[in-house]
Amino acid sequence: MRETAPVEAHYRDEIPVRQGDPFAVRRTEAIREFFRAGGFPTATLEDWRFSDLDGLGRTAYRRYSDVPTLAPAQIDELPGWVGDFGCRVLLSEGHALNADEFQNRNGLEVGSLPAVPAADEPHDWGFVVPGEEPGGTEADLDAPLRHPLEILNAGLFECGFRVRVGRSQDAGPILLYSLRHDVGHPAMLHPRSVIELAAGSRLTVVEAHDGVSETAGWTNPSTLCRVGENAELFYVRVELESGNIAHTGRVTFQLARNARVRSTVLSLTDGKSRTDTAAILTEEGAEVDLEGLFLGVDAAKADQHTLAIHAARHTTSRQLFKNVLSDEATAVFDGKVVVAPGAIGTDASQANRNLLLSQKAAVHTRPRLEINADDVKCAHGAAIGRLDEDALFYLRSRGLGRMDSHEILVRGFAGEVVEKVPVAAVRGLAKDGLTRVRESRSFAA
Amino acid sequence: MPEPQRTLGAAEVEQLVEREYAYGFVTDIETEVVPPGLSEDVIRLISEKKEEPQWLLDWRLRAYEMWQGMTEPNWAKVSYPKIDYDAISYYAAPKSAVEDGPKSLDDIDPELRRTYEKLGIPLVEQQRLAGVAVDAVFDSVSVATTFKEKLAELGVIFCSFSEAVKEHPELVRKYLGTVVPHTDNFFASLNSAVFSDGSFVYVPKGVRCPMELSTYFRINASETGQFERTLIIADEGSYVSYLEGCTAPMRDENQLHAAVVELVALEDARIKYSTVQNWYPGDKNGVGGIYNFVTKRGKCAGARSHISWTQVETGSAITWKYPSCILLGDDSIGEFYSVALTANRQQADTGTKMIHIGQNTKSTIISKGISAGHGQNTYRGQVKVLPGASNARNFSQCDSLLIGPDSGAHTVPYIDVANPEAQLEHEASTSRIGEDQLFYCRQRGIDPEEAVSLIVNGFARDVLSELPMEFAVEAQKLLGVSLEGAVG
Repeated sequence: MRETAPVEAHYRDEIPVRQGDPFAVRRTEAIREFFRAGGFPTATLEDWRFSDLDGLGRTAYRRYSDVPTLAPAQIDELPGWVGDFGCRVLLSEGHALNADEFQNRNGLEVGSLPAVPAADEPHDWGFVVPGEEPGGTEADLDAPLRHPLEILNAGLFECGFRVRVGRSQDAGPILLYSLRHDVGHPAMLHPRSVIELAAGSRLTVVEAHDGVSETAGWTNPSTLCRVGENAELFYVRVELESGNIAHTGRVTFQLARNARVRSTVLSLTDGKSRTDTAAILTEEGAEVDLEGLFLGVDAAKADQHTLAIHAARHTTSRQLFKNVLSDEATAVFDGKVVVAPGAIGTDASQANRNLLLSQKAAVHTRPRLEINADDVKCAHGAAIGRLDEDALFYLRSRGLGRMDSHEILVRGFAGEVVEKVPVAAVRGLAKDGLTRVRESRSFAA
Repeated sequence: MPEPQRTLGAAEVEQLVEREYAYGFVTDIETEVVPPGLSEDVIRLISEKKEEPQWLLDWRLRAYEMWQGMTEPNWAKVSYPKIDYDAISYYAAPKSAVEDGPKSLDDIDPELRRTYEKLGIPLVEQQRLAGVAVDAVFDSVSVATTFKEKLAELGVIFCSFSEAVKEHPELVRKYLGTVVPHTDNFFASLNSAVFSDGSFVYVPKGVRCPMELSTYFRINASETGQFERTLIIADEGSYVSYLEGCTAPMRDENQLHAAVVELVALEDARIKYSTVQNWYPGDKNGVGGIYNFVTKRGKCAGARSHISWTQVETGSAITWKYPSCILLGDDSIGEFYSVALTANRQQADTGTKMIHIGQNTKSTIISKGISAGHGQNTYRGQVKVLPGASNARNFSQCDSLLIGPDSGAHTVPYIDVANPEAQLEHEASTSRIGEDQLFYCRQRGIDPEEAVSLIVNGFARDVLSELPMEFAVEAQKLLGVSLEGAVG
């Protein structure tokens, strides 16, 4: 066993202390729980085979200071695409740049996590009560909330977003944008966000994590989306952080009766990321699409974990994750579909497709099914390969150059995910990502 | 809903052990039974009794040392009471069927006999399978001897493992542990330390073995023990088809089985290994039954070599087995065809590993899981393409058939690719026996049990067709018999 006491003490000291924080006690408990359960997960654990966080645990990350480094006046310096959104919440190092700008408009609440959150029920923030274990072999609906880094986030969160859409309201597209800078010491950020859709409402939301850093950085965001009866959520997640910023993020969807969610995770980082996307279909008729695209260049690594829990009858989940890998990029897909006992009429599908463009790129995929009811329809598939020689020949024979014909095919491959994203600005980001792939060392080499 | 995992108390274990004798077998405590528990002394004793050379003893001891530092794997999706390795007796002298077994077929469990009849097994064979002392009329020994002479003419060595250690030590020493090393995993290391006996096959260069080799025809085939070890070597350009097990339920008194099978195929050689496993699965409530924890692996060592695994798994309370292929030689081929059936409270966690190392290597995986009652069936497999394995190809198909709302089917494929020229496809589907399918059959006068058997056999056809002819016919019947009472 590694000596974890000093590390634990370090993180206990990093708990944000704020006057009147209703979560103060919960935070201390969470840190204790995280280390009691083994602390930073290492590759010896099945779920962490390709994301060893031992190194993360050995670096003494500190929170950003309480003073923003980017003044609100400098909003103009943000990347251009951010300006495409009429409604947006901007965080810099976790500090709100446009605080209160969009608070409570016609029953729609859009904002950042206040310095001192209101004394909400802890449940509203997606906390699981420690010690409450799932019973029997029934599906563990809180499994995503027991994720070790989710628990760490519960102890350390200092910022985040909050969106509430009222009954039958139609909102969006809303941008939730978190940017971070290099502050000269290993810095960490633990945003915690909650998105709630009341019955019959509709929302399009983009959550983006951006930043550049020379020194080691770490972002560990948790997002919980509660989607009410008949509500519809389009969720897009963009991971843009570069270089030395490690990303370990999670988004969890809880779907009520007939709720619909379409989620797209776009990994455009050239660093290392691990993202857990979970959908819990708690009531009849709920339907979810989980999609993802990783455009990997250099030594980028994206470790995508998905979980779809079918806990009620007649629920549907579809997963499609695609990876384009150039240079030494590595992609991991670990998908899981769980059909709880009695969840008949489940329709689940899961697909992972990988395009290897370089000798040194690697793919690890594990599409898993766990089925405990008989009247279900479940299918999964995975495919790994390179560009089709016949298709390349077809294009070349029509006078297209080497680079162009490769690019057309890669764009076509990525298009299946990109084209479905309902926000033009995000499609633009994907396009930039594809340009980077084209310009990568091993492209069409 | 399956009951939560529980551990057995000492008294219960005793009860279980006693239950093994409930069918009226007379068991005199023989003088040559080592007291339960495992130690270096026990291993020395096993080795001494078998008159083994020093190097083999050393190998066993190294395995034992390794095993002591290992923990029992718990990643498989199976649950069972904790095994007390100190309660197992690791050596018993080969028993003679005459003294030990039932005196006639009337003495054996009527349920077992009914199954034999359904499978259409001839009376003499029934006696043999049930462990009844066979009278002189059915001279199995002479049949086996005839075969053995024929094989010897061609230079094929087919004998028990102990015999091979004595007569062909150079071959055993050269290949033992080259595919499944003594450090491989918890159960393989345990087997390496205490293995009792098993089969040894060597097919010389360019020889095509003229008949299916089967444990069935081997002299001293009975009582190979719970820690069986098989080693098959196909030299350059040779071919051998090996059959293991049989469709009829075997009488067996050991609950834990930890066997190891190693296959080595040299250049242009081909090995076809077929298994039909139908050990005691425990009763309807999941009491008793064999734990089958097997390590099977083949090495396609030479270029253009070919190893093919076919298995029909219907027995055992718990199956934990992953027959694998290491595709080392260029252009080598690995295949895995599997039907795993779990009924009542049976649990199976089975699949394969295809490790592509050489260039232009190909592998095919066809897995058909059938879960009925409270049965839990997991396919767990890995396809790994290393950086040097250019042009590697794999196709995997894992289908599950669910019968009954309490059954479970799980699929856990691992695909790791580090070469862009590799082309891999994995497909899986899950379905159940539909009311409409049953209705269609019943409408045409087919009774429900037969209808289920028909549908299941259709589902498993891709695999059954890989079995040697006579085996396939028996396996088909077996699937039907195993599912009795699962529907309707």
